[in-house]
Amino acid sequence: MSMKIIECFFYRREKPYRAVVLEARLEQANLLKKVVDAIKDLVQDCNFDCNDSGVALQAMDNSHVALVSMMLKAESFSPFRCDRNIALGINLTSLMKVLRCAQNEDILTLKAEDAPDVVNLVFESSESDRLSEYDIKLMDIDQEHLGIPETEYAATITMPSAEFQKICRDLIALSESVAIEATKDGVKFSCSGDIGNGAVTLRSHTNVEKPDQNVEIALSEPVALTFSLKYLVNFCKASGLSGTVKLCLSNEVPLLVEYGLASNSYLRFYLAPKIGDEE
Amino acid sequence: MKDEQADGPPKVLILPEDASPEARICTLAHPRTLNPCRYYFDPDKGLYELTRVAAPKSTCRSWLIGRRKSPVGQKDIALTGKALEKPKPELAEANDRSISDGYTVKNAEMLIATPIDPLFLLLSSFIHESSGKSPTSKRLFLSADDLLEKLSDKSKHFNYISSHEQMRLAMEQRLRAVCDTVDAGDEKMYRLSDEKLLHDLVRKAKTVIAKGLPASMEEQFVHKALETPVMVVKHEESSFSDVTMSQRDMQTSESIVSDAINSQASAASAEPTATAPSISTETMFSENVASTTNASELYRLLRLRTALSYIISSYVPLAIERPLNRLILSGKSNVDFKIVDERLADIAKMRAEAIASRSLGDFSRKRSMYEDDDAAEARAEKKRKKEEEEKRKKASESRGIKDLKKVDTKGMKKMSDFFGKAAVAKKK
Repeated sequence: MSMKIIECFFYRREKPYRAVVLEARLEQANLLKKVVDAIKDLVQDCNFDCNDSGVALQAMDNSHVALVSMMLKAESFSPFRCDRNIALGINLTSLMKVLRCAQNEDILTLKAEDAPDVVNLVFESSESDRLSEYDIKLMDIDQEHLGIPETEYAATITMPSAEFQKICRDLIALSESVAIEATKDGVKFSCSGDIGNGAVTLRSHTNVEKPDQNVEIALSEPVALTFSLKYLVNFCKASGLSGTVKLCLSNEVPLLVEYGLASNSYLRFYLAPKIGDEE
Repeated sequence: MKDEQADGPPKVLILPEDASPEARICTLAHPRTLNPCRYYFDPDKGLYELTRVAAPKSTCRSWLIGRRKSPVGQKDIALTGKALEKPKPELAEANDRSISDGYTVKNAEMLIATPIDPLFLLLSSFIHESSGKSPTSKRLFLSADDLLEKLSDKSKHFNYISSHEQMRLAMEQRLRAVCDTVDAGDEKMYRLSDEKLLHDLVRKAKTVIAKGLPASMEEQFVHKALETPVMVVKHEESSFSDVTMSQRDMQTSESIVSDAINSQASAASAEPTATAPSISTETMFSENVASTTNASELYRLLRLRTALSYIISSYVPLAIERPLNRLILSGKSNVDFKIVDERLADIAKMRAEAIASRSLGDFSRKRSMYEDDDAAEARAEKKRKKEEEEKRKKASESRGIKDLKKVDTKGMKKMSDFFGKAAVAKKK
């Protein structure tokens, strides 16, 4: 298999030689596929910032009330090589189109030259000897980077991601927004709309057999905030990436929804609370 | 002569009557551009430049050239391209033989020979010296022979012209008119004098306006330049502000405001234009009728200047034009254009005011009236591209993004309100 990589590596060298500065091999193409699938409905184009510690992404939605931050650490890849910091400006819809060509079990290799015009994706099927190769044209994206400080949140709720997804999907049927109330008794998701109102309350819960099903609530002080459900439902598209999701809340700061990935990689969403518009 | 027919279609020329057998068509450097151009030279009559007159491309016309016996009046002479190069003694006869029964020429253009002052051809011989850093001090006196030799280097047929005694004398006479001269032995030496040249050109311009400017030039450079913007808001009166209006009954319904400075410079310049509401003419007439003499003088001066700048910009080499223009501006010429300048400055000011006082509302209208097709096309193209770009962007948007656009984000702060602009380092 590695012979093949080298082969295609040289095959591409008919153009003026430019050193390949990024080469990242992902055992499971599925991971990137899911990540992109989760954020493509939030942002249109964004920069994948590659450096020696991994591939990072930070982008805001069109109305700048939500932010997605992704970090795929170098350890998530095998191997990972990035000789120079490069930003790959990619249209996520285009990237998704290409990633859909990959089968879930395919090995994905990302490659880019120095000062690249395109990013090269190679899918290798482990079962059949199939090798597919795609180039995606890059774009110049002028994006502002926000510095996100490490925050001590007043409430941190860890729960099964499927549970969170279900709550959001159920409540959006009633209302546009949800009030999340974390107290020492538990966390209450409540909403009220034209047809009536509804609430889901979760308490700390430990399932010894299935630790995935645990609900943990770490609380330093009670918090109550309101959020747009449409955005939360959107975030929930990342549920397939991780069995558990972490919600971090503090008054007056954005909600953090974190999906942890293997080797300390993560996909985080931030959403500004609705203020002064209690429903 | 017949074999020359193969070289190209015949051309229609209008040449002076009774050409001498020595008459030639020759190639000389154009005085302004220095590109080789064709001239008609008749040793008895002098030098003629050939001006092409053609119908616009949109109207398709052709020539039907036939034999004509009567040599009275204008003669149609067909010449082939090659024949133009060669001295050709029997123009008319040759023509009769080469065109037997008639000939159609696709391009309905004709070349008209009009007399040209050989002085203009001579001017380019002064270029080298006058393009120095300090033009006046560097200029050297040169003999007529030296000057003519310079020219024959540039134009291959110049020798032929200057070898004719009569022409040579005419040239030297013209040189004397515009040059400072010194006698060196039995030879006269010449040095170009800007003052003398300008004086001579002004004299020519005066001759031009004596017969009146061509209608198109009169309209473009004189009438339009002196049109005053008519405003509902009454502007302050300047020395002869309303005379021009009383002269011209232009206050029909709307008057056109055009840029005075531009129209001075070149005809092709697109002038910013605007329309103005009208006011009644009667009041205008009643005011300063007394200064009509002043106004006619203004008109005369502007015509003179138009003619002068036309001559200069068509026939005077660029290197010589600059000092001439400086001379005109400094007011050292024998005609004082100050009065025109002041008036034009006045009008320009009024126009600026008129445009400023106008609402943005009638921009679209201005466009439709005055913009040429090219600009309109360019704008349409731009718009189309923008739309396409928009469309493409829309297409690359996922459904989720479109849905999120509908979300009511009222009461939600921007992310940048929570997180500061950052340090790129944070992200790494």
